[in-house]
Parts: sequence; structure tokens; C-alpha cells
Amino acid sequence: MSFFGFDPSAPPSSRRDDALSENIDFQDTYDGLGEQLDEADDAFNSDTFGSTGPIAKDFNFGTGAGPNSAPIQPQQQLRQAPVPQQNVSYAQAAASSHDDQFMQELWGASNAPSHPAAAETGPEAPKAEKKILSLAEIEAQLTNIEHQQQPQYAPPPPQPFGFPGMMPPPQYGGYMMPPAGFIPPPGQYGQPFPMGQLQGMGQIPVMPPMGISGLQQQPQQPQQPQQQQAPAQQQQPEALPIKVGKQQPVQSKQQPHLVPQPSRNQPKADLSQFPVLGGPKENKPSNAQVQLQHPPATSQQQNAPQQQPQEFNQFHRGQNFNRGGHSGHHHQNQHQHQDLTPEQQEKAAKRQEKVSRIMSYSGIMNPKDKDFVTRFQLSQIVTEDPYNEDFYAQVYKVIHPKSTNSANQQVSQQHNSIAQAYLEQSGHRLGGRYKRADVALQRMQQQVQKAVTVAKERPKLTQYAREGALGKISFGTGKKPRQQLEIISKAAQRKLEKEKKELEGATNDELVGVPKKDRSPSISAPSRVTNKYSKKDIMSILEGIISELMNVESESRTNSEVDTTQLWESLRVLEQPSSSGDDEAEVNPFIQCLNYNKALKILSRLFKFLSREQILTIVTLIMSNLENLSVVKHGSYTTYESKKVPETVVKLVELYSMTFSKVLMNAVLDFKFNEIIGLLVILIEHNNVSYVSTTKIGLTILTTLLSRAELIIGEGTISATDLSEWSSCYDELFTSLESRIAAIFPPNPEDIDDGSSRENYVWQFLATLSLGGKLSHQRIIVDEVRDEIFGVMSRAKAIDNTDSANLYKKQNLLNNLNMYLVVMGLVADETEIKELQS
Amino acid sequence: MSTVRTEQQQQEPLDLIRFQLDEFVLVKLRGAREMKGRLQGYDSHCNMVLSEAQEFIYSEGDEEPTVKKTEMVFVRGDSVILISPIAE
Repeated sequence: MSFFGFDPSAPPSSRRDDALSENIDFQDTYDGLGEQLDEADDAFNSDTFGSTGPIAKDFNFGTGAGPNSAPIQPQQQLRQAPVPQQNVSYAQAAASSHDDQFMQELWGASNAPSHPAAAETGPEAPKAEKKILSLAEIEAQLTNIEHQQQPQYAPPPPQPFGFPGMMPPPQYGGYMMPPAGFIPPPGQYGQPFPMGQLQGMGQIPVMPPMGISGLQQQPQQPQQPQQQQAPAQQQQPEALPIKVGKQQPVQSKQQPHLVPQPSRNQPKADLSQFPVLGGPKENKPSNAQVQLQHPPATSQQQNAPQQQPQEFNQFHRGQNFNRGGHSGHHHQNQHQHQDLTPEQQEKAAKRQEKVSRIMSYSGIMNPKDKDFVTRFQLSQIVTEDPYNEDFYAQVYKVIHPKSTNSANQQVSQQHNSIAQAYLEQSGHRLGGRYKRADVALQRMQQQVQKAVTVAKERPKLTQYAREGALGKISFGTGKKPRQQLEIISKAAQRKLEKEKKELEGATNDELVGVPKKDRSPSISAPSRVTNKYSKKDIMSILEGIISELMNVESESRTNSEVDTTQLWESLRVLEQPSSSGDDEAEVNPFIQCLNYNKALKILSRLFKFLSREQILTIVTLIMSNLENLSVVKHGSYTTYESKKVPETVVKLVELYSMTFSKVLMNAVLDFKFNEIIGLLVILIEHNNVSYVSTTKIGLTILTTLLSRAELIIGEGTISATDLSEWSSCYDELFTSLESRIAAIFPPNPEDIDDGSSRENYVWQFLATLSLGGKLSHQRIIVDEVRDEIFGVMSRAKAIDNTDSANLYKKQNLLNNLNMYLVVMGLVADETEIKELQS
Repeated sequence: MSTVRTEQQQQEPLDLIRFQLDEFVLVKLRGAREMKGRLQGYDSHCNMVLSEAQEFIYSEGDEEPTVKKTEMVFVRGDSVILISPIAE
């Protein structure tokens, strides 16, 4: 027996009855449905789904990259093809025509980019191909090519490096599809690249560069495949003049394809005439430029072996090249294929493979496509209102004036700079850095102009319902970049909608002329949307602040430079303006936070990480919101029938004195005189000073500001205008206090000073106030607080001199009183007030 | 560029407790007890430390709960039924 009563020994038929032990025969489980299928109507499946022939995954969208072409010359294609195409497209776009000559101009002038593209015709190419040609074969091919090409090539320019970036002259740029049999690079560009083929010639002895700096700079590295490539490019159209004899050794597969000779010739001839390349006049400059441009390209150039340039040069000279300044690049690379190590060959093969992969998609976009993309990108950059939307860029431009090309670009500086920046940033091949950029610039300027037009016509954002929605166009501007992702929580969205409604409501009110009564002046602007914060919101914000603070603190332990932007943002200081008297829930969240113990406890830690400006901002905010602080709002005895401040508030006030007041005092030390005046003015404007003065914290703040200002005045470095500002500010403050000064004393003086404390904020305030005022001010103050003065004296007197336990209280009371009296040159004991004897 | 707009970042249930740190809370406990106190700390098990705490013990028959005051108390989370902010 086995588990479950399965009896293996039983015959299969009997087992079937037992579900658990059933031996499933999968043959039996097949229900045969498949065989019952009616396939009568499936006859057209092949029509619908295509034939059932073998389906490969390697469908090639690339233009010229058919299976045939790809293998052929990956190397050359890779490098040359992409570059030239781009250039062409831009050039064409610029010209808005397919003028061959124009293109040639471009090429001649700004070939620099092509360097990288230099054909790797050398040994590498063959390797890349599936069939690896023998050196002999390659040589043979090269020879053929050279022969063909030679007649066509114009005399090489004297300067081998003249056009480092010689691009293959693509006449029709990316559009051109290589003819069926066409072999990649040369064919595509319409102009054969002799240079690529020339590369093969590694056997030419290296000649010292004749007066050509470029040559000298470039060490020969015949063996490196890359090197070979580079030279090829440079030499291309113009360089080709090299004599066949020497070149023959080099073989390039491309030769056959290079056929179109006339085109080659044209470019040369035309080039001289074209402004870009520089007609005769411009030749020199262009050359200079080219040479300048070289340096960037050097890396590539270096790679390219330059053994033969000199020879070539000699050659050219001998032939009396007509070009004058105009020179193609004549880097002639001679690769000695034999020198390639297997590793190098492998490398080359890999490279070729990579290149062919890339190349397979080249030419998919035609120049117009590219222009469109360019324009679209530019349209995001340009703006009708650069000084507002692009302010910092404008400032930057002023600070760092572009010295290069500035002369040429006076047409429309604005567009120019954008175009130039775009080119530099994108490393655009046509006009990339260090390369001849004027043509590209012209081109780009046109694009920018178009883009500006587009930008002007661009619909305003509001017209579009929802960014990213199907069928909706999403736009971005410099001001409001397009968001890729916007997640709004349900709550936030509800809030938004509500705000919108309120906004509309407010606007309606405005229209009807019914101002909202309960709105404080500071938020009465109809356009302002005010947030309401629940206690939970505030608690959450507060916790956010604390955790940010802890992050910053922990970072500051390991890193002296701490990024406090997040901390600052978490404070929400600028999130919502508010001023005293606003609805409690609408008060700035940071101010609301200050009503909680934990916020106060972290204040001093927090301020350590804030900049002076940030602290000033916070203090300013507090000044305009004094009455929104619960210590002020609920901290005045005047609001309570019992004339006593409740215990909880008293506790909070105590905490304030220990935290906030100290932090404020430190902060004020850093403020400048006019800033303090500003703070006082704000305080006076936004608060009822006489009410504020009945609270301990309010009075302390006033004292802090006043005493700091007086200290600065005492230093004697304040200008007369500042002083007059100060006195008007003081007058204002005094006016708002006048006749209510006695009210700063709580009805039960014992509450605030029973003599046990060495400080009394009320007397401190009066002392400070008197100090800042003139004699007339002081008299008024004394008049108003006379009763209090005598009250203290009598309280002091009430403490019996024999009560040694409380004697110190008597002294404290008198000391605190005298702190005020001394300002006016008086001194009091328990019985009388005398003139201070000094 | 992306923005996440929520009322306050990501909210978790325990955030409700976090927001009450250093505030007075009412904690209802098994065994007909409640505690009020300033929340000093908590963890994911709702273990809590309360300061200035008062414990209210309700028992059948008694109208008024027994009140015990504690300066600082640790409340083990497994007996916590609810936590609620209270006005001070």
C-alpha cells in the first residue's frame, strides 16, 4: 500500500477509478479539438498575415545598409557617411536649395568635422567585410581607384592640413541613396573620397612637413587603423591629387564607386569662387581658420599616419596647384597594412561592425527632417522677451562677451548668439567648436529666425487642456519647461479646483464691486489664491523642516559645504504672504509653525544653516506677522477678562524668551542699520504697536530692534540721511505708543517681576525707548509711567530689610527700575529719586 | 522634469503619529485605560514614550476613573488601541 490508498500493483484500468492515483496518459487527455478545427476559411491567412516565408528579425530600415552594402565598407561608412550627411542637410537647409556648389562650399570650408569620418579604407575595411581581402587584393583595388581618380582630382592644396575636416562632399546629403551597387561612403556622398583610398598607401615614406604645421603636429602612426581613417577623410576631394605612383600601393575597395568624377572637379573649381571657402580673398583666412581648427581634430589626425603628406605636398607644389589658399587636407595616410597586427585587425573589424550598425540608419532623415528637429529644439529656446524669460543668459552674455566671430554676426545679435550657442552645445558637426562655424552659423541663424516665428505663433499653453493628453500638443518655453510627469494627489487636485473656484468667486466679487470683508488688505488682491492650512498640514510641514534640518546637520558633520536649499524650501517661508490679522488658517505656514514648541526648539539649530539674507527674510516675515504669533495673539493680558495670560500661553512665552528671542537677538546683530529701520517700519505698518507692546514677546522684539539701532548709531558711522530716516521711524513708533505706554505694564506687576529676576523686559524696553528719544520723548514716557515707578519703589520698600531671604528681590526691583532711570540721569532707591551722581 | 504634488510629500499612516511628536496625545489602551501625555517618541509597533503623562483607569462601577500621573512613561505598543491628538 502506498499513501492515499494508491495501489501501484493494481492494473492500470483499475487505477483509473482512483482519482488520486490516476495515471494520466497525455495522449488521452488531448481532446482532439485541434483536429476538428474548420480551417476552410483560413485560406487567406497568408494574405492577411503575410506569407509564411522565413521572417527575420533584422529588418533593416537603414538606407544604404543592405546586406550587401553594409559589409562592404563599414569603416568608411561609419565615419564619413554620418558626418557628411548631417553637414549636408544643414547646409542644404541653409541654402534652401540643393545647389551643389553651395554644398561644396560648405564642404570645402567646414570640412573639419569630417576628420573623424576619415575613411578607414586601409586594411581594416577589408577585415570588416565578411570576406577578408588579402593585402594584395586591397592594393589592387586601391590602385584601380587611384588611377581612376587621379585625373579627376584637382591639385592638392599646398597645405596638407588646410582643411582638416574635409567632409566628403555630399552633394545631396542624406537624401542620396547609394545606388544599388553602390559602395558606401563615396557613393553616398556623391563625391568619391579619394583620400580614403589614399590611406592605403602606407608605403610612402614620411616626409617632413613642408612648412605645414599641421603635418608636423601629427605623428605618424601608420599601424593604427584609426589613423588610417582620419587621413583619408582629410584628403578626400582635394587631397587626391597625390600621384598615383606612390599611392598605388594603397588599395581601397571604394574606388569603383567613386566614379562620379565631374562632381569632384566641380567642387574644387567652385570652391574658390564661393564666399564661404573664401574666394581668393578669403582663402587666407579660411586657411588660417582651418589650421586653427585643426587642434581639436588633432586626436584624430594624430591617429592618421602622415608619412606621406610631405611627399604629397611636394607633389602638389610641383604641379602648381591653383587653389592658392584653398587647400583640401592632405593628410595622406599611408598604412602599411602589413604592419597591422592581428589585434589591430580585430579591433578594426569590431569597429567596422559597430560603424555599420550605426550607419544602417543613416540617411533616414532628410535635411528637412533635421531642420524641423533643429527648429523645434530652437523654438524651445528662443523667446520674444529675452530679457524677462532669459535674463540670466543675457547677463551672462554681457559678462562674457563672445570674441569669436562677433564681427560677422552683427546682423541680428540675438539670433546669432542663440544659434551659436546651439551649435556649440550640440557639437554640431557643421559648425561645432573650433571648426569653421560661420556657415553653420548663417544656417542656424535662419533656423533661429524661423524658430522665433514658430514661437510667436505657438499657441499659448492655456489653449491646451491637458499636457500629454492624446492629440494635444504639449509645449514648453524657457519659462515653463514641459513637464514630463505631473502627479497631483487627489487632495491636491481638489484643493486646486477649489482654489480656482475661489479665484473665480473673488474675481466675480471684484466685478460686482463687493469686496470680501473678511479679507485683510494684504490678500485682498483678487488674483491671489490663498492656501488654508490645517493643523495637520502645519504639523506635517514642521516635521518636514525637522527632518530636513537633521539631514543637513548630518551632512554638515561630514562635509563642510552643505546644500541647504531643500531645507530652505521646506520652511515654506515664501509660500504664502500674509500679515497680521489674516485668517488663522491662511497665515504663512512658517509663522504658524512658530506656534509649536518643537519649532521653537529647533530655531537656533535652524538659523545656523541659513544665510543672512534668508534670516532677514524670515525676520521680515515675522515682523509683518507679529500678531499672528500665538504668543502675541494670545499673549496680551488685555484680551482676557481676568487680565491674566493663561498658563499654556505663559509657558509658550517662556519658551519664546529662551529660544526665539535669543535667536532674534543674534540675527539682528548681523543686520544693517537700514534693514533694522525697515523691519521696524514693517512692524509698525502691519501691527497694532500698542497691542503688541502689551505682550512680552512683542515688547522684547521692539527692544531688540531699538537697542541694536541705537548701538549702531552710537558707533557714529551712520549717514545723515539714515539718521533722519531713523528719527522719523522712531517718531512713528513713538506716536503709536504714546498715551498707551503705561499699558505695557500688566495689571499685576508681580506677574512679570516679583523681584526674583534680574531682568525686567518692561523696564528694559522703556530704557531703550528713552535712549533713542529726545528729551521731549523722555518726558512723555516718564509722565506716563510715573505711577509704575513709584509702584516699584513702594514694592521695594515693602520688603523688609530684615527679610534676608527676600532682600535680593528688593535689590533686583530697584536695579531693574534704575536701568531705566539711569538713561535719564536719575537713580532711585526705595524712598526717593535723585539725580545720578557721576 | 517632473513634479510630484501632494499635500505633503508621501504620507504614511504613522505620519499621523509623527506629526504629533512633542504634542499632547490621547492613547487608548486595552484594559479600559487611557493615557494622555506629550509624545516623545514612537516606533512602528506604536511603542511610545510619553512625558507629563496621566493614566486614566476605568473600572466598572466607578464613576470617575483612577488617575495616575507619571513624569515619563513607556507605553508598549501591543496594548495600544488608538492614538489621537488632543488640544492641550
